Amino acid sequence: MTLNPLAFPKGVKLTCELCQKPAFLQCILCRVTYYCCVEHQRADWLGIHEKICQTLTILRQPVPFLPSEEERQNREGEFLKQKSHMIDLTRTTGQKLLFEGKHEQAVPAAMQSLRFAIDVYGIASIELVPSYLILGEASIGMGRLSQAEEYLAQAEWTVLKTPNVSAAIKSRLHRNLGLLHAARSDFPEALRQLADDIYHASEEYGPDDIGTSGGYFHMANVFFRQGKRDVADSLYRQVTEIWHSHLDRIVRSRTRTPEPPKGVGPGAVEQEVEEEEGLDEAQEAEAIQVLNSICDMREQQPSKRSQDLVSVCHALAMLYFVLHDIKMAKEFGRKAVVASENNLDDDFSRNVVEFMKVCERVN
Amino acid sequence: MAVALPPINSPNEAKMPEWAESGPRGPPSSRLKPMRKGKKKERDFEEKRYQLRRLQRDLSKADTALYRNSFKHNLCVDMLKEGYHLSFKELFNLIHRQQEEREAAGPESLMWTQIMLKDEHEKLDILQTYLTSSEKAQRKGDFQSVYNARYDLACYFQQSNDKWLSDHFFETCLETAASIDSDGGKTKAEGHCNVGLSLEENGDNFEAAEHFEAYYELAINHLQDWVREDVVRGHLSFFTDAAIHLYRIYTSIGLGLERAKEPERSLEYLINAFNKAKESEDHKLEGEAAYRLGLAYEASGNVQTALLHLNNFYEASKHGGDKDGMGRACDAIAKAYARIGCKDQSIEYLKEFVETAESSGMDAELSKACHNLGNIYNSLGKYKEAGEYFNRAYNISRAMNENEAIQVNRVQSGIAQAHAMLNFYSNIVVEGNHSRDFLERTMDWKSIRANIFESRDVRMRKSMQAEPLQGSKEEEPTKSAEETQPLEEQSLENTENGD
Repeated sequence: MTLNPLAFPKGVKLTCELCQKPAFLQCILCRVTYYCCVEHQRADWLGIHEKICQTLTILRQPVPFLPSEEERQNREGEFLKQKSHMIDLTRTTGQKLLFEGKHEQAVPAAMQSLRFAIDVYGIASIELVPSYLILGEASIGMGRLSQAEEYLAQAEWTVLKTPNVSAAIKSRLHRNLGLLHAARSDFPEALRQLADDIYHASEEYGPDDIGTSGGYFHMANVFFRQGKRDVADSLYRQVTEIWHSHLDRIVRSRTRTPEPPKGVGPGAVEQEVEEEEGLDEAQEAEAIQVLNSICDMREQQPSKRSQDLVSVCHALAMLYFVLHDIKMAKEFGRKAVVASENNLDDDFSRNVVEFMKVCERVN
Repeated sequence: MAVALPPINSPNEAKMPEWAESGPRGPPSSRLKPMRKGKKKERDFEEKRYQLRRLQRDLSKADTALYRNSFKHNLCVDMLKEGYHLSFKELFNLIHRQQEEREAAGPESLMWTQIMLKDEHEKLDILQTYLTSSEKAQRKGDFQSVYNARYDLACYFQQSNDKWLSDHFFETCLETAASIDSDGGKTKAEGHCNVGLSLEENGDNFEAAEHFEAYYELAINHLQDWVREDVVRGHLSFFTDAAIHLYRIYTSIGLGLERAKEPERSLEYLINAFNKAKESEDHKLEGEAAYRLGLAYEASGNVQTALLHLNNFYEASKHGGDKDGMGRACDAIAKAYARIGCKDQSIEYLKEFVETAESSGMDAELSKACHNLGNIYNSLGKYKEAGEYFNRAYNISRAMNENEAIQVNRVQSGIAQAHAMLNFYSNIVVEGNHSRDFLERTMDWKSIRANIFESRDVRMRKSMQAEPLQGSKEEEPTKSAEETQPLEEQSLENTENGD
């Protein structure tokens, strides 16, 4: 759809949402977003625009004049809230796309989140770092290493200059730096950065949390590429264990039969509703990617310890169960049963069999 | 290029008003100030510093991290980048556990002031070395080395008084030992023993007993071939060791239950302890166990069985030349006999107790023995002997300066002497109705309060001698009576007031 720039007041330059060049296309749904060409519009649509189109309409429309100070403040507050929500949404989307390996698509989301973050927090704030990190990771994924380094350097500098940065951000920064060095085949430096990542993540979540498992996984990959199979093996095992126990907890909490309320009266009705643990989109994507790649590797490996294969299959089965993909869950469950027949670690195989029964029941 | 421009915005110039004419702009002359200020000394210093800085190599990121981050951070990163993630996890968890415990204990506890593990660099270094070597061995599947490394760590922390750390490593030793199957469970037995010991130190007697039992079960099949070197006993088979540990733990459980007023369960444990002591083939321990068991039986009222065990103990101590044991045995046996009313036997054993105590020079025991003997004589109505023994007990405790014992013995001695005098006194009172002489004598006694009845009244004295109570010791009573003259007065007063 063509656009007539004359319809706008003088001095308003329309630039492409992605590349900041003069724009000639307009999104017909929100009418506030412009593109230089069809490719960019499509990329943005797939990446993030689909999700935020409607909100953008509200945020970008010229604001009508409100006579009351109070109302103006209310509107400000409302906008701020919406923007913060937008930051979260765009970041999670970007992260998810990254885990799915769609690095190109992640860039628009990351750009958008960066824009919102600058809008809300200013140009030199620590809140911008997660967006830089996503951009950096996407660039690494696309093989644009120097660009990635630029983004990461920006993030690192901000972290360095800000006192009391949370360990979570530090951990993600070091993880991305580690990935960058690994992509450049500078393994010692990559290992150092990933070690830093694991340390900070442990400070934040504890050494056995899924938040830490990513660092272990990347580290394992580096050792694997270095040819140190035993170290990599042990690290992969650690990752599998972490996911396994986490997913196990979720499955258990979902399949648990609710206890009958004790007693009568209001006290019994107001029993605590337990917060059900779940996975957000990024975590789901991470789990699928990590566990599948470990599973592939274990299957190709000459089976040194079939125990490893069993536990990774079981973890995958539980993952698909949590994602309500019962068919896949059953498939991996069957795989786990087959693999566990060779060695009889009773406790474990009993767990698997029990899980299969649960699957049958759900179906 | 050579043009040296005047300094811009120098303080002098700033004071000048804007409209003032600046000086003529001519070629640079020597009168212009040099750009670089400062004396030669300072310039040299700057120059030197610059040169020195150039000599140093540029710092890499790793170097700056070393400088910026905490010791613990660097240590963890060091381990992780070599791939020792299990060691990292363990160390990290340990450090955090200590911190949590400290938080839970609050700022007023003792823990708040102690140095935390994360600040003890030497210990952290040792932990790193051993943990990584253990993990390396674990990757290879060499569990014996894993066990050794962990055992070394445990020993190290035992020496440095970090109880919680040594406990942790003993426990992980036991876990590791479960995967060593080449030596038939010897390492596992050792692990159980160590965990048992550390639990015992913590006071968890029941759990410790469980581990010792496991140790015992494992050792029972290898009576001969499992031997360890012991500092005290030399060669020591695992089985004997286990039996000794079990004896000790059962005894302390039994005594604890006794204090908690659960005599039946206590007796059960003491019997177990006795059996284990028997199996250890250590006569001294067996004797001790028998002694405890005897005391427990006695407390529960089963005196015959008690006597049986106590006699065992007596024989064992006599055999081993253990004077202290013999003394205790005599004491306990005497008590048991006294309980069932066999006073003669009781006196016999008590006398032996006195003798052993005397010969081995144990004053506290001697005093106790004399006291008990005095008590028995007192109850038998042999006040003379009773007073004599109480006096002895009193003297000994006075020599030992034990306040409580002094008071008790002095009162008892007084009571005994008063009892001894009672007969004469009542006679005098009865006869005093007929004769004025007796009444006067009573008045005399009232005023001087010495034992004057015996010395003056021959008739009475004769009748006293006719009694069998006087015994064989003739010369001692007078001697002791002289010695304890002041005491007698006091104690008599005491008794009178008491009455």
